[in-house]
Formats: sequence, C-alpha cells, structure tokens
Amino acid sequence: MHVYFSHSYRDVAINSYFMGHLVQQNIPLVADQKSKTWCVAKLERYLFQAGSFISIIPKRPSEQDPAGYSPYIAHEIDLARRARTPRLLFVEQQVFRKHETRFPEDTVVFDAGEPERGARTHREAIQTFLAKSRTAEPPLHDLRRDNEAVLVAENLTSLRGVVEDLGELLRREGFNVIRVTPGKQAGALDNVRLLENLWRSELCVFVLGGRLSDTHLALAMAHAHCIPAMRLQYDKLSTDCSPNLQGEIRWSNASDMLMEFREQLSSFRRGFVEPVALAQDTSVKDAMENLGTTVWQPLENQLWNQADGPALLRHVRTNDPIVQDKANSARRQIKADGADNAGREREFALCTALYDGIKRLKYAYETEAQTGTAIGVQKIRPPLLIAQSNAATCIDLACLFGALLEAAGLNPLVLVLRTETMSHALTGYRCQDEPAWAAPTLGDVRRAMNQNDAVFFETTGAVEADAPVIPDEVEPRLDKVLPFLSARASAQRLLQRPDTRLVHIIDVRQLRSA
Amino acid sequence: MASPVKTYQAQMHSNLGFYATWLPTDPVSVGDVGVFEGGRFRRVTTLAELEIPSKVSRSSGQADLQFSSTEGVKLDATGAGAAAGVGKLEVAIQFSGAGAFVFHASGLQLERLDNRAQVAQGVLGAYRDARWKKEWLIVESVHAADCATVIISEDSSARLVLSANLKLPTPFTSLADPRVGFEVSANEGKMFRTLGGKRLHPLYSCLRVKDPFFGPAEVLPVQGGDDAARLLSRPGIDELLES
Repeated sequence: MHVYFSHSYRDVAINSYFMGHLVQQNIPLVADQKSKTWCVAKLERYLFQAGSFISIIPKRPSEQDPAGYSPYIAHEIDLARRARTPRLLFVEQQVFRKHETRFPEDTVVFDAGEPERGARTHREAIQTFLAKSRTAEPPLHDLRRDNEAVLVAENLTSLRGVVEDLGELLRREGFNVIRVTPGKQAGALDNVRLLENLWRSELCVFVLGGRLSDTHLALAMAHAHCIPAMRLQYDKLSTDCSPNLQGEIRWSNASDMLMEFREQLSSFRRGFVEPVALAQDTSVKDAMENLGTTVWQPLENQLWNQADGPALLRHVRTNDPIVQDKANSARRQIKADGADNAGREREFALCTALYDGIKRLKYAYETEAQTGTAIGVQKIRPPLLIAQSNAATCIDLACLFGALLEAAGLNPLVLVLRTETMSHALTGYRCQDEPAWAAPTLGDVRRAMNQNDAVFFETTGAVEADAPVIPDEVEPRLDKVLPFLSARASAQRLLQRPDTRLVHIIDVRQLRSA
Repeated sequence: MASPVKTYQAQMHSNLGFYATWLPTDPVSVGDVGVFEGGRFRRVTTLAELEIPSKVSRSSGQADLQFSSTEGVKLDATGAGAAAGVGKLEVAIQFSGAGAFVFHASGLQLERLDNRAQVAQGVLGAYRDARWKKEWLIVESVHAADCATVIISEDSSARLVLSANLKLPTPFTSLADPRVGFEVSANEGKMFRTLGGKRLHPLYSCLRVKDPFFGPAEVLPVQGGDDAARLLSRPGIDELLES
C-alpha cells in the first residue's frame, strides 16, 4: 500500500530533511507533481488509493498570521481525516503552538531551523506509523471500480445541455458514465443505490443548480466519505471558473466551465509521482526540486526561442490586466507615501513598490523543467499563469517585471546573461534622462549601473526560495525573500563578475518604437 | 585584424562602458564638443565657448581600477618590495598577443554633466543659429585619475620589466600607485606605454543630440515631459573604432 506524501513544494530544505528519513525506511511514497491545476478530486483519489498519509507542515508566514501554514496542506489534512486513513503529521513548532487544535493529538512537531535535533523522535514516529499503516485497509477499497464515473445532476432544463457535454467528455476520457438525478424517485438521504454508486465510482461529478437540492445532499455524502468529486456549481454572478480551495467550480458560462472541467479531468487522470524512488535514482534534493517544478503545457505564444533576443518582447505583457492593476497600485502607493515627485527618486520608489507588490504575493521560485520543449526553446509564463501556478522562473519574472515597469511609465530593460555555470535573466530600468544605447554591450550596462543611469535587480528576490538562487546572492533572505536593496546588490555583483556575458538586452520601449 | 589600440578600446568599452581616451594623455573634459576621428576624440569646441550652460558634478569618493585584456597578459611582482614593501620592487609583464594590455588607474573620480536636458535644448538652439553641426558629440562624463598606467603590446610577444626603489613599506598593489616611481628596467618587443601619468582623464563617455530633433522648433515632435533621454543618444563603440 502506498503512502500519500503531502508537503509544501517550496520548502525544499525541510522536505529534503524528512525525505532523508523516509528514504531510509524505503517508504513507498506517492505525491502529486506540481501543476497549475488545483484538482481536489485528484487529491481525494490519491488519499483513497494510497491508504495512508504523511504530511510535512512548515510555516508559511503572512502579514495576517506570522505562524500561518498553507491552506492547501490544511485542506489535504482535512481530506485525510475524512478518508479515515492512518496519518502522520510533522508540524513546524510555531505553527503547532499557534494552531494546536487544528491538528490531531498525535502530531509530531519539528524545529525548522534545526530539524536534526528531533531526529530520533521523527524516526520513531515514522516507525510507529509504518506499523499502523501495514494493517490498515481503506474503508471503500474493495468497492471502488476503475473507470466508473457517476454524473449526478439536478433535473433542470437549463442544465441539460451541459450535462450532456460533461457526459461526453467523461466518455472520451474512457469512463463508463452512470447518470443519476437524485430526488427523482427517492430523496438523496434515503437513496441507498445512489450512495453505492458514489462508493463504487472512481470519480463523481456533481452538477449543482442555484438552489439547495438533493444533488447538494449527495455531494455532502460523497464529501464526508472523501469520494473523489468534482463540484460544478451554477452561479449566474460567477466570472471565473477557477476552482476554490474546496474544489468548487462556480460557473455561469458553460463553455468556460467545460474548458475548466477538461483541465480538471486531465489533471485527475495524471499519475502519481514516487518521490522515494526518484530520490533513490537521483538525490533527495533533486527529487524534491523535481516534484516542486510545475508541469504545464505551453501554448505557442508562451514559447521563446533563446537565440532570438527581440522576440522576448512578446513576453513582456504590459497590457495584461494583472500587470496594469499592480502598476496602478504601486503608483497609488508612492503617491500616498509622498514619493511622487518627478525624477529618479520617484522612479526608484516606483520600482521598489512594484517589487514589494510582487513580494507580497508570496510566489515561489522554480527552475525550469529540463524537458518538454525543443532545445533552445524556453517556456515563459504570462502573468495569469504565474498567478495560477503561484510560482515563476527567472525568465518569467524578468518579463513580468519588464511589463510592470513599462506599465508604470519607466524604461524597462530585460537582460539575459550567461556565466560559466548558469544562464540567468535580470530586469531593471533606464533612468530618466538616460538615452537608449546603440548596440549595447555589457560595458554599457555596467557604466550605466555604476553611474546610477540604470537600476537592475535580481527579480527572483521577490519570490520565495529556500536557498540563494544565484551565487551572487550573498545577503540572507528574510522569510525566503530579499529586500529590494539586497536584490539590487545581487544584480550588481552578478553584472560585475568577470565571467558574466551579456546574451541579450531588451530595451522594451526602444524596441517597441523601432 | 584589429589594431592593438582598437582591441584595447573595444575591450575597455565592452567591459566598462567608457571610451578609453587615446592617447591616454590626451586632454578630454566634460563639456568638450567634437567628433570621433581616427579612433580618437577630436575636440572642436566646448559648451562654454558655445555659451551653452553646463553643470558639472564630481563624485565624492575615489576609486582604483585595474583591468587587463581578457587574455595574453601575465604580471609578476617580485623582490623584497612585493611583500614586505621595502627595497627593490620589480614587476615583470609578459604579453603574448598583439593588443594585450594592462590598465591601472588610481584615485579615479567621476566628473559628469548634470543638466543634460538643458544642454540638449541649448544644442538645438545653437543648431538653429548655425553654430552646431549634427555630427558633433558632447563629452558627458570623464574619469579623472590621480595616476594612470596604460601598456599595450603591439607585438605578438613582448615583455616589460618595471622596477622601483622603495624607502617606505609599500606593498605592491598597482602600477598606478603614486607612491611608487616605476622605471623601465627591461623591454622586449614593441609596445605603447603611459607609465604613471598624473592627473589624466583616461576614460570618457559621450552623448549626441538625436538627428530627428534638428530642425525648426515648430516641427519637433510633441511628447511632453522633460526627459532628456528622448533628445539624446549614446554612440556605440563601432562609431569610434570605424572613425
């Protein structure tokens, strides 16, 4: 029987520590490869198939709660409790102190700064858990049938077309679909055949109308048993079909909902990743980093040929609503702070405000997956996808900041650099009164930087990383991010390195006007 | 093949972003107006002579700078002076390529033009009065050095040995240390050298008013704002090298 491994992707260091213990015990872990899709039905399926559950819960401080933790992990823990599977929770000590009643009594705490101090306790807890989970049998295990789906929908004329389409999409994914309309013959609570259908199905899809109905009751029953369920709630006011934390998809536009449903279905069908096996093949750290790298399929306009510098401009998406919104917030902020005078001080304040605005979003840093694109072609996430993934690579961020700076009225510069050991991207801006450079070289960049005619910063400083992203990042991260001045200092050090080479420089405004 | 001097200028620019003054002892000052000619800046006039007001600032701190060509240079300091700093100091420089160079400067201070927007407007006025030529450049900043040494090999193999007698403890740090009076004690191969030159301006940068802005005031594009960047451009290194 497998063990589901619930963890925060971005905490590679603490995950690696616990993974070291789990690898030693050769525990057959399964985990969800990071993707941009939040699919609760898939987690429910994992928990059911795995039969037991280990979770590492690190601290995720926020302005509201300095001892907070990931709401996604919290949801996974709740699912595991509903699934009644044996579980082992390792919780960071400050999180546990603050939220003790949210965790079961047998929770094991750890000190994130020095987890090794609790190594013996952790080892023993794992052994006890293993003994328990060997004899455990998930309650519905014998009933569940692969490729069975039940489509539970209200009998509403307005939903009929949508239900037909959902059934068709399920069939195309290879499901044998049973359609059920609760309340037709008997109320959902009294309909034992409905309950058995739910137990038997690999996946249940609930299509819910505007009013509370027997379909809602059926969903409640499935939810209580941690039965994999997709929750499609019609809501005429809804404008966004993204699932919420509970997996509920609120929709008003059928086409948008069907697109999201297809995405969910594809995520649901994706297989487990086996991190212990991966760690045994590579290393614990590599396994954790691989697991935490988002898998996503780019559209054509999300690909960049690395040899074509000017083509990077297409990825600087200044008109994106997220970019415009953030730029407007930064403008308002510096005005409120009294830093809205003309000149280079204003530009610097604006850039700092943009950087801090992204920092507050608590995105995670990711390295680009080495597979999935042709050699020399790189995937670049647009702003919405960064927001959906809660993560970004250096080139994603360089383009995002390029767009933010342009939207704020500055002259952005995006640099692609290479050293003997890495490729990297930085962003900055040409200051007021500094003209564009003809055929710019690294020398132009250095001169402008040293004369304060341009400002560059390490864009990955604005997103959470466990360790320095580049070797030139020597100042410590605070809560996994860099203050703006440290991000600027990191960029300066990188640009002054003797082995740094300038591969591309994108002067966004100059290129747009060319 | 590029001449040794061009190699020196290209590498200095591609790494530091400044033009290397040629000859290193040539006088170049902020506010000078001129053209690139034969790989050098040739002064024609100055902003002051054209009655275009300029404000020049000077950086408060001083810095030392050492830079060598990417390959083809080996520098060895030997003798008592190398470590302890008393006695005879000898520095041997081995060049293994034409264009290989050593640039050492101490006490560098940046002087630069502060009122670019006003100067650009002044230039447009001077053009309308037929006192300005479109191709003219303005020296926008210079690095002033207390002491500078520039040595460029013109042969594929050259060797220079410099020596100094030290009376006080002076560890070797730079060929532009004003406390150390280096003299040539051996010399093989052809090379250019400026040794321990005092109060030089070995690096400079230029601006030019963009061509489209020359013309009657009424045809200037209306863009708003007072950002001088829209009026100015920075010439690339090729313009100097190909002059």
